[in-house]
Amino acid sequence: MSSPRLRPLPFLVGLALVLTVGACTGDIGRMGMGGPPGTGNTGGGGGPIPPPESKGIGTVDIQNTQDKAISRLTNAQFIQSAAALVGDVAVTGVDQVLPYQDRHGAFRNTGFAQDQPFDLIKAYDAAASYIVDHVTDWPAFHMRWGQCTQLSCIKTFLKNFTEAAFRHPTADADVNAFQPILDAAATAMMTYDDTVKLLVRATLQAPDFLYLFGDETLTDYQLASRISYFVSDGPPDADLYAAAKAQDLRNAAGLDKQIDRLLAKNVTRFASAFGFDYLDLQRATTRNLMADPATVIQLMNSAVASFASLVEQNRPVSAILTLDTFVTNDAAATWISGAPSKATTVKANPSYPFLGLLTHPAALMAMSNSVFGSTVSRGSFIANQMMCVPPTPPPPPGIQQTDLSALLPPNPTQRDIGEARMADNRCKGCHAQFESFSFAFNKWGGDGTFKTDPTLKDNGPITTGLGDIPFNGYADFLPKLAGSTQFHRCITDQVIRYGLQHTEYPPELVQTVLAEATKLNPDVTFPSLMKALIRQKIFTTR
Amino acid sequence: MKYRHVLSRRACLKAGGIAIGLPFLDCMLEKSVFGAPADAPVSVVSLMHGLGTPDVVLNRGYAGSLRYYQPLVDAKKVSIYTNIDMSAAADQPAVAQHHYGQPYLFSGFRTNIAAGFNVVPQGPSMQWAIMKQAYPQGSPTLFKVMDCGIYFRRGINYQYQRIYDAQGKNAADFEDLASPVDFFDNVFGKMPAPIMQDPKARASRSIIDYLVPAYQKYTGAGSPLPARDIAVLKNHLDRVRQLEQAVYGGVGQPPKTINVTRPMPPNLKYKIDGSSCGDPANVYRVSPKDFETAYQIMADLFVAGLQSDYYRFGNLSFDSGGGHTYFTGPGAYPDDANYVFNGNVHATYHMWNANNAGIVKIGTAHNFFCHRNLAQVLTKMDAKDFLGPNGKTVLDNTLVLVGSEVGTNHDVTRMFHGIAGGNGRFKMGLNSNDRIKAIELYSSLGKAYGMAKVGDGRDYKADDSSILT
Repeated sequence: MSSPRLRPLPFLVGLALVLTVGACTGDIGRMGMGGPPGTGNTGGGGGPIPPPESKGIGTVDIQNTQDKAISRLTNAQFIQSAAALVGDVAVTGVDQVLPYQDRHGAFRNTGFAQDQPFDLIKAYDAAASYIVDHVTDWPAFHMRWGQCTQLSCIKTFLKNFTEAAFRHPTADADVNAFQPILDAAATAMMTYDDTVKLLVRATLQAPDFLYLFGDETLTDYQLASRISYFVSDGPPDADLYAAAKAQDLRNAAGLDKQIDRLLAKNVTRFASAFGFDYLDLQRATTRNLMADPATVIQLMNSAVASFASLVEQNRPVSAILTLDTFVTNDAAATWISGAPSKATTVKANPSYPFLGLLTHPAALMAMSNSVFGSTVSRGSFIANQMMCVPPTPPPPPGIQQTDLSALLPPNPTQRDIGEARMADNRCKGCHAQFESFSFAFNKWGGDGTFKTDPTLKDNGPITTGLGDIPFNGYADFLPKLAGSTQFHRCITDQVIRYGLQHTEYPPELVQTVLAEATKLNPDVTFPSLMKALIRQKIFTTR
Repeated sequence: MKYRHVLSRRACLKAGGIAIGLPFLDCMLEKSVFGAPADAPVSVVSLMHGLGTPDVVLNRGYAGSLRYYQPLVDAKKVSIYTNIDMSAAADQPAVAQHHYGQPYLFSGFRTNIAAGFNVVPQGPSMQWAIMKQAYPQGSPTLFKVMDCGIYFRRGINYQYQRIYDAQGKNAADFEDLASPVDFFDNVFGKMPAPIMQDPKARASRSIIDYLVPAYQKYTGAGSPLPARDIAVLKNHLDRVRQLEQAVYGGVGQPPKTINVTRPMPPNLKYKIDGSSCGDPANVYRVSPKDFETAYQIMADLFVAGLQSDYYRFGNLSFDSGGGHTYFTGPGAYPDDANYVFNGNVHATYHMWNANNAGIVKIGTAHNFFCHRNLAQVLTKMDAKDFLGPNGKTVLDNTLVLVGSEVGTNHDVTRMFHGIAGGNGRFKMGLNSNDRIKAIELYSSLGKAYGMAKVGDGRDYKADDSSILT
């Protein structure tokens, strides 16, 4: 329940068109917020300098599209929210009823990226019925919400139940809105049990349950919900709700108390939801041409669990790129160790010498457009998603397919082709911004394996949109990326987008949150970033 | 009137397993008054294909791939246009790209490009716009917009989403319906039995009576929400009304059945993102025979849904936006009886050279393959064994838009469009090589359905009245 549901359905951001090369200018915007690449100047704001920047890796302004809309609960949040009302047993298996929803290039909790296709709305109806059918202890349910089982208690039940479901106190009008159901149930001479089942089904499809409403300045209850769905991917617990009711979230001490409590309680659900979208793992299901789909799902689960472990252990965010231990299931342990294994964690070995999550087999499949690892799709993923280098524009008209054969050696590797593109004046303006980020991964296949072919070069230096970067293989390259200011700024941006559920925020917020997170923990961890964000005024506004 | 629908022989041969009877919902038909003949409901669908018709093929007329439409044109069922100018879709139309052409096709709106080349159209597709015009309170059918097809690329939204709403978002009921089995299960296989006299079942319907005003509270004039949020909740409300029809509707309706059989299509990876022409070694490969079989089974299901009035608006895609499928194996090609497909024709289009006989042959063979299949779908829609309330075929009653987002290579200045049906609103039987601006053609089509405006108006001077009756 805590992990996002994995299904082989579509994903976004295929970048194959970049392969069709053109003569763009390659201007990706102002380099650095205060200095040229490699100066280590993070620019803007004050406060402590984030972790030391690797030489050669500069910074670039992070694009901040202005996009927001009301957010609907994700499938995982729907299930958690329902479980809080009816118990865990009743929601077990309901994920099979809910269709996978694409992330549309953003986090799936982000309102503007969410669609309302009919199959989803129909599935909510089916899911509500499923949940009601799987409640096993109705007497306990009735006692919890209505304290009796007489029809005379039904309004009491509704008052209590809808307050919990809607995450705010409800008015008489909210309760009276259910009258059509009560009338129909009376006409049909339904029992109290059956009447309540109808009411629960309706509540689970109500806008106040499914959507996270926000006034221009959030109410105490709306703020509690935003905090809770951010930190725990679920509704406010009793303590947080009580704090909202007592208006304790309006003062810094009261707010900090709740943040610290929730972060200590459980961040696994946050980590699973965030990590799944951040690594764009859904792509692994559709990009995989070779492996058994069930194995790929298990590999994806391992990647999510590995990401969650570094969040749970309060490891530095840089561990995303330098992690030396993967959490595994049977399939992942067997895949990485190269022999049947039931290990729950694995370390690197000579046949699979991984370092960080980008060398996890599921991540390799997800970010690679081909078995031999497309330098374009990988380079784009690392540049855009990991380093927030602004995406280059679509290939301009005119040159649809550039013949680079004169620049290629016999039997060229993907990197040879990529380097030829970057050497061609028509191509390099754009491709030099991102494609070479993939070169360090030249020995890692898009099929999730490590290659020992001696023709595969994975050394630097490379020219990128963040400056020239020298390195000797992926094991040298990844720590440099992980230690760079731009990586930290980029992950901060991603946490902000996830936490606010949109992309509309002032550009200086990244530096502010990063600086405050560094004060909270010099290593910069996910919990420190999350706490720093929740403390910002923007977190309390629509 | 017959209500029994029989799938094509091809589908039946491939089929097995479950056969189910489906309710035919008379209430969905437009009602006649005082014994007047009932008219057909408004219905618009498209048959989109990801790679266009090169000018060297268009120039051959009926000797080329257009031969497949000739019987339908002669029967005044279809009009074909071989010189549609879609220049307004992009700044450089002679070398436009799929991400410009696809959103403009049958919408008349340019698009913005988002990260990863995903498109954000600046207005709705005609199917959606005409639906809103004809049914302001929502389409009274089980499903609103059915977008489906056979394709193996889905990395960018326009590659598998073909119909957009007013916000430029996917307007389809299902986000990515690309397998015949999924289509059957979602559209036919899981239809609930109509609620008859069961009081508890009738009481279930009262959930809708709660939900509709609950959403209206946030979508009405007094809503405290910003416009963007209201649009989201309005769409949700529309879907709740669909739910009412699909799950709780049909009270007291005696089911009249059509027979649709759960298909057993070729064993293809229907949900794969099959890589690109830039990666020929790893691109997903499909034989033309398997692709054609899968597509025609999907077409059978798509047409069956129209005939039984489960939806009135939609699209059936022949390959993804941009094409991209790597075809390998023999396939019928009249110019060469021994022709064998072996390549990703998308790449061939990128390398287009009218003086290179090899490239022209590959492009032409693919185009024959494509139009043969599209024409076959039109023929299926013209089946006489399942007539609408006015006694005409689904093809007669439905406005069918046939076309691709590009023409020769990635040129959008000379394109093929086919127009069928429309229930007498348009001239049929035309084979026109007159230069017609797409925006003016679309505007004429829309106005015949009562729309004041179609598209963004760029390059629009006047409607193309020559298409009207």
